[in-house]
Amino acid sequence: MKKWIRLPGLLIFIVVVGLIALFWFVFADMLVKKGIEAGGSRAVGAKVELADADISLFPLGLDLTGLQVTNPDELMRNIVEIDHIHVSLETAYLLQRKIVSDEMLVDGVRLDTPRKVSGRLPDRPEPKKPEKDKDKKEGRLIELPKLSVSSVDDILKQEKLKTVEEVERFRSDIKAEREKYEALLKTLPDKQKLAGYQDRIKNLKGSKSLGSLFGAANEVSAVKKDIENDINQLKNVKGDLQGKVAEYQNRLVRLKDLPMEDFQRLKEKYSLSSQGLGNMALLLFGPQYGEWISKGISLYEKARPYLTKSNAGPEKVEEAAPVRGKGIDIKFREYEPIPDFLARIARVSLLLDVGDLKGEIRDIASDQTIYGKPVSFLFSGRKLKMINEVSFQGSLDRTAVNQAVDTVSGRFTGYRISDAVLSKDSGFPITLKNASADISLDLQIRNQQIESKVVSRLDSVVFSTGDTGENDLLRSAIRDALAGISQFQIKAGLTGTLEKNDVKVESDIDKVMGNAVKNAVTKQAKVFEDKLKQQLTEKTGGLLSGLDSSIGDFQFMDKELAERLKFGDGLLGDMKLF
Amino acid sequence: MLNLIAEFLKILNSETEPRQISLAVCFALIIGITPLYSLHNLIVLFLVFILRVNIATFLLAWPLIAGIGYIIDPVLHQIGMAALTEKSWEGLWTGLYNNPVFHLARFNNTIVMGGLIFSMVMFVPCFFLSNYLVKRYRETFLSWVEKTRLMKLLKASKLFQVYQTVSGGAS
Repeated sequence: MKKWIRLPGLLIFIVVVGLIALFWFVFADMLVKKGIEAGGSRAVGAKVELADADISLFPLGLDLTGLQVTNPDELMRNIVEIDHIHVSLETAYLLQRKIVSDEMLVDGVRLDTPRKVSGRLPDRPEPKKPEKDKDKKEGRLIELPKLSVSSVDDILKQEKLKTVEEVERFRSDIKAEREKYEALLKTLPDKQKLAGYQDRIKNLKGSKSLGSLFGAANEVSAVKKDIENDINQLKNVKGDLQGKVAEYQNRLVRLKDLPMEDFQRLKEKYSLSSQGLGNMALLLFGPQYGEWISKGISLYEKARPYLTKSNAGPEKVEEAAPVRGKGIDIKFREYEPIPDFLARIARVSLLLDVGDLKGEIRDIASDQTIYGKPVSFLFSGRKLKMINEVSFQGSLDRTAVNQAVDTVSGRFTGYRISDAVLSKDSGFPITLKNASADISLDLQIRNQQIESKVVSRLDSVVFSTGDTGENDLLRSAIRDALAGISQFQIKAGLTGTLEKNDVKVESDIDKVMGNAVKNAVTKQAKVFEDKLKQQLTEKTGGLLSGLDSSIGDFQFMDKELAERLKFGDGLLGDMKLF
Repeated sequence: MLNLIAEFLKILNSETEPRQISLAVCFALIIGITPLYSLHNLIVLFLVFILRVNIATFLLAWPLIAGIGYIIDPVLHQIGMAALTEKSWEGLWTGLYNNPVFHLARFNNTIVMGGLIFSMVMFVPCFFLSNYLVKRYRETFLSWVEKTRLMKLLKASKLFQVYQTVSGGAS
């Protein structure tokens, strides 16, 4: 046996293991730091940096200092920056490769902070800059309609007037008809031709012999037939002509109504109504709410993958392709199930613009379906920089597989608002100079369906509208109305999905503003209509004059035909003497 | 590295027991085939030091076998996956999974399990094969190798000078 045992080897083994332990002890902090930075960066898609990591053995714990998580969409900003994190670890669970902490301390959490250097990872491309719309480039804009009466000129230049079109068509039609009838008149039996019948009648009257009388009877019959044919021809044309005259007279009557029709159409199209301005609250505060909502949803969307992967159901190990040399860890049923990561309570201090908040987050688990409890949080603060009192609480529930229910409710009392820009429109800037707001918020997101209600009560309100030289009636009315408002309430509702949602904003400000706007709009609309009517009359009145005389040409032709018929009828009368 | 190869040649040509060389290769098989940072490798290391195993052979064989392990990694994964997902063994694995020491040993990893099964199965055949090869080398090839032109060139090389240094001039 001694032949096989090498006792000094035990010493070498102890030395080797001791060296490994010493190496770990010396470099563990650095390895943890690098591990967190590498794993975090891989998960976020941008740099995650840590100033320092420190492992303590008795009691077992981990201290992280100066954590910065870059926003992958804006590489010069951090999503979150944390001064210090202390995690106390339970040794028994660590042997099972699980990080379980009874208590975590998270101090100095700041959101959306600037970075000194870009947080881009070397192997990742620059993120695409989101296409900013004009509103975002220039600040929020309120689109008030231009109430300038001079715009009537532009309207008449760009709009096709039905009156003008119809008058042109009428003139061209009547010209064609006139030419047609003038040509036709030339082909019809005229007085000269009819006078020829008179000569033939005279000759017949002069016949005395019996033979000639016998032949004359036939001639009389022939002449009579010819005259009757001519008269019928003239009568037909006259009938047609009178029909045409009646038709054109009717068209003329309609033409005279067209300017009014044009006026009504343009008035409806361009004239003002207070309908679009009825919801001034939405117009003034909607963009601000929209901005908050899109910011909130963006943050939520970034956090969602980490929340939802925990309850996405059991993984199919067969389908996952293992990394070479790494393999796959197969999970088996645990007698006392516990997630891979669990922090039972995290005490957090938040450093926000409004002031510092303290709170706690309970039951942070990497897999809520195992732990069976949702993450819950509660934050509060009193006598802050910009707010008297704030408290908000909520939960992120992923305890059921493929089900997500997240709720937040909050109360903010005495939130001091100053110089809040509601509109940066250079023509009509509106700023909420001062106000004190009490806000209540209730939000629920259930499987991507969002439902939120925010009620804000604003007191000691002072608006500033600036003087830009544009002083039309509407702007003046809004300025006056805003100047008279000292308090109001806003209710904002949000419904829909995370991708597509609808904001509804209601306020008692609408009644005050609505009346002021309505009066201004009515006055300005009257000015607009009068000018439109006047310019339309000027433009179309000249066109309509002279149309009556163009029908007169037809009446002249009718008279000519009547004379020919009268002459023909006279000839037929003479024929009766035979 | 030159020192190590020279030492290995010295061992092959020396009176060292073939079994000590073979056992070193077998332990290198376990530590080389399975992931390095596994708890069982501490036991392997303990055995290498405490048993009269040829350490130079172990240190030389380890990286060579680790390279082979990397190549046959998909096969090891399949073996581990088959073992860990075998229904009849589920009770055993579940019991071990709930034991902190075995959990720490990462037995539930497909490469650890596959590598361990492969090296255990190959341990005894590898021992006898290595033994046979060392003996055959000494009996048949040693005198022939030393007479070859290649060996003569090798003796004149820097490698052989290193070998001479560590072996104290004996061959």
